[in-house]
Amino acid sequence: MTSTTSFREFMREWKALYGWNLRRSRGISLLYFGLLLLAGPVLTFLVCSVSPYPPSALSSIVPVNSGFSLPLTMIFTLVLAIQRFSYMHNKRSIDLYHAMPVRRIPMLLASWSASLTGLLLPLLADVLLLFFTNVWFSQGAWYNIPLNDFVFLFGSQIFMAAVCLTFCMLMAVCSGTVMDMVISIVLTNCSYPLVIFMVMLLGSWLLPGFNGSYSLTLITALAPFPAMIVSMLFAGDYIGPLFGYDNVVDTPWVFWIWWICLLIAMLISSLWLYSRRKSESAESDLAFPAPKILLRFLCSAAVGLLAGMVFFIIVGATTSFFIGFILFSLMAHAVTEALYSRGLRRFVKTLPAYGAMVLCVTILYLFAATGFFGYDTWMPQNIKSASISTSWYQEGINPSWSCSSNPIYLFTESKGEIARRDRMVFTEPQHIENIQEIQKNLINSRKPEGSPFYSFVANGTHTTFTYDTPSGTVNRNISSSMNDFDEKAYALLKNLQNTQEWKSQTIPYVIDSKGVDSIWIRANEGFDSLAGLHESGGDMIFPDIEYSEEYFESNSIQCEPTQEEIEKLLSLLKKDIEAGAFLGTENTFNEEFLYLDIDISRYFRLTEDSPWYELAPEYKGQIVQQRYQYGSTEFIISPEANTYSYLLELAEKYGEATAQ
Amino acid sequence: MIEIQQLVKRFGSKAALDGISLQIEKGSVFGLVGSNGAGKSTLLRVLAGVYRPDGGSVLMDEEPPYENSGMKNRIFFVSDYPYFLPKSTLQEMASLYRRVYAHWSEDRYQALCRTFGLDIHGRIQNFSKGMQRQAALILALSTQPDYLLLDEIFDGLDPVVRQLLKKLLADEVALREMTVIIASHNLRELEDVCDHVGFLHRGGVLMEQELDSLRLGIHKIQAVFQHLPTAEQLSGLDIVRWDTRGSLVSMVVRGEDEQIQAELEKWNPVFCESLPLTLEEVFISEMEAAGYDIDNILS
Repeated sequence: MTSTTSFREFMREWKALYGWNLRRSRGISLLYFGLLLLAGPVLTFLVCSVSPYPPSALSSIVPVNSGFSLPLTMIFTLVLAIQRFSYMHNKRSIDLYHAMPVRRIPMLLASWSASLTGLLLPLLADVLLLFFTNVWFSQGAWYNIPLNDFVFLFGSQIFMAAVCLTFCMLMAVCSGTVMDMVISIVLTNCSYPLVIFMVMLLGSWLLPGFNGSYSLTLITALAPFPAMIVSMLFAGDYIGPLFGYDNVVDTPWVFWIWWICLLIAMLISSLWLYSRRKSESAESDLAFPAPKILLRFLCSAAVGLLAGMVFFIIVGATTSFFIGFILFSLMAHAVTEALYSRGLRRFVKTLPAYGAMVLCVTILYLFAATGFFGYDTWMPQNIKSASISTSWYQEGINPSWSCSSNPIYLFTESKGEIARRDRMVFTEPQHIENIQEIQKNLINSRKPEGSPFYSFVANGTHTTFTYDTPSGTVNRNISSSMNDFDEKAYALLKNLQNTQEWKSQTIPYVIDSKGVDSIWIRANEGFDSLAGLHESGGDMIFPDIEYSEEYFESNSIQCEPTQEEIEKLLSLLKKDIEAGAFLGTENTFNEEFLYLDIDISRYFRLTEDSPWYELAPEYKGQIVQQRYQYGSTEFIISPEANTYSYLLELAEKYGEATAQ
Repeated sequence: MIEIQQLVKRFGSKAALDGISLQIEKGSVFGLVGSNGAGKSTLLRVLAGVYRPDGGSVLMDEEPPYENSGMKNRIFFVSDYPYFLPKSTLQEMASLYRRVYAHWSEDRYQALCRTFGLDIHGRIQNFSKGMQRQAALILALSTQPDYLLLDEIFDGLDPVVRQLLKKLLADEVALREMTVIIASHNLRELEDVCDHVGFLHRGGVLMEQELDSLRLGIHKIQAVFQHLPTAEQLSGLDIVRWDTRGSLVSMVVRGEDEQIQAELEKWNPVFCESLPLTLEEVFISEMEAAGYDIDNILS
């Protein structure tokens, strides 16, 4: 038979069953469409009919619709998969299907493509109807119609629905019964993300330097249903820059490429496995045992690790981790086996597989606890710059170290090139060496004396070391708190913040006075002794102004100084930084001091209906900084600082002006 | 023509078909007879291309049926429990077969619907067992198969429909040289319709023969002797079954009637007669000879 004839035959067989399958699934597809219709076009119609200004109401419809259609799509994917692929799990239906003059591959492909059509046509129709309803109600305000939202949100949903359906098909081919198929689908989508998360958590608690950053792509890499939810987040991120909503872009190409590849791989392996699947495996144990073995492994590992970590948090000993792990992983193994085998008749035979899982986790633990082949102490070569940031705050240590409390965002003129700077960067060799020394010191503190193993740390805080090298950036995340810093490390850290390199990166050096919109001066609780400054005394520094009852607000003033005043303020701030006169004094909270917030939101404009800032078009500078979302940054000014008295001057001047 | 050579089909460690070889001529009606679990249904499923053989070969007109849609277009398999899609009607099932079977005949379908008088718009699930088999037959014959594989087709059919079925099969065989293989325990019905039979036992073929020659080749003898010989003394006969009640001997013997009579004459029987065997009796005798402990089962 020539290839053309063979292809024609293939298409004829596929077409014959495709049409039939489509007819058989039309009831479910219509129900799906009806529910989508209620959540989309009908809801839009109702909302816009009663809204005084329909265009503004439209923006809230798309998220509501996608929030509703997402779980709906997931449910109907599963329902359609069960309906279309369950024929292979029934001995009698197999007699019918496999005796027909249709080969296995076109037969399965016809079921898959018909299910896909039954799933995607309603979704597509819903999107189109929703779009046209939007056009109808937009009253000519075309910019209110988020066309890209439609394309990316629903495009990703449609794609992920295809992925989920293909995954269900693969599970159906590997399963002997519908129940096994459903169990496999549910367990994969629950256990895989959990086990990856737990392994990463184990690494971050045990292995000094392990990054511990949670990649959603990795966590959902083999779990398409959770990945469908993640795809919505990624689609949202992608939409952001198109609308100028978001400044921080993380376009997850890896996610999409991975799922495109996996979709193809799942489709090919399903067809290949189905062509080799024995008809007699219907109603029997799994047609192919691999999923069962893998899922038993994943479930027992995930539950065991979760329980082990909970036990460790409660009791605080490594032994408790292992007790919790063994007890609960064995229980999870037994439950999974009981689900698959409808009993525990073969439980004893499965114990070697359980032992293999325990061995794997133990080996993983040992690797992590012994530094994972030198990962812990490895230092990159040719370091161009190094930085250190902490997720904890300690008096005496400048809060600028803390990346989460005071991130700095750097912007260039091109909106596409946006980088977040949340750390102080050191390039001088001596400073880089000091940072490396701090890292080594912290790593050593994790190993009890005389022990070859690192001990568990789960205090939730960490110190991050970042090294920029010609071949890329190296990050090391060490689970630690201030208590893990010994005297030497503490001294090194304090010395670093007294260097010129550190000072030159503080806010007054990178700020542009033209961008300062206003300043906000507040007094702390110990400010009472400064009552002499006030005309009428008392504990209010600005007594002539009627402030709210809140102490926080009543002891503060917001003003817009002149350019000259701002420049003077910035120059005094620099002077104080050089002198080390403010920020991070040992007893900050027991003294009288002022808070200073500098609002640089002039450079940023709050986009309508969005909490995010975008750069103002008139801004032409190279670098500005802002505190995320609030457009201001905070200084703690102690009485010995040069800035202190000038701030009081400004407060008095503008406070009175405001009162008048 | 169907050629089966050393066919093996295993389910786990158990061989349902253990190296059977069989040849079925085109246009014949072949009866598959065997004990429970002998492998009749398995053999039919292999022939229908549902099961893939684990060993040996199955050729139908020199082509294997497995994953061969061209060949399968010429085969129709009616299983022991015919399956119909959930909530489907005969009309809906017909529309499925119409799509997939190249030789579907709408005229034949309409004619058969009229003949059997089934409600084509009623849900098949609501049909009785016999009516479901009739529905399966209508669909099967409408595809105009060259090979019709029927598993326990007589179950649930009333006597009138059984006769109708036999007539329909005979017509199809006469008109189109359709080959029919019927697996059944209803040997009485098989006797009427089959021209060949094959006895399956424990995954192997005990015997395969033309029905007429089978009947002529095995005899039930009842004889009375003055001096009763033992079975061993009658070693010149191929005795399948031996039973004595007083001086009356009942035996089932393979071979030509004349030869058997001549051999028995040597023992001067007081009375000797040869009776024709029903297929059921042949089957029981052969099964017993093959070690099937019938007495133990029946006791």
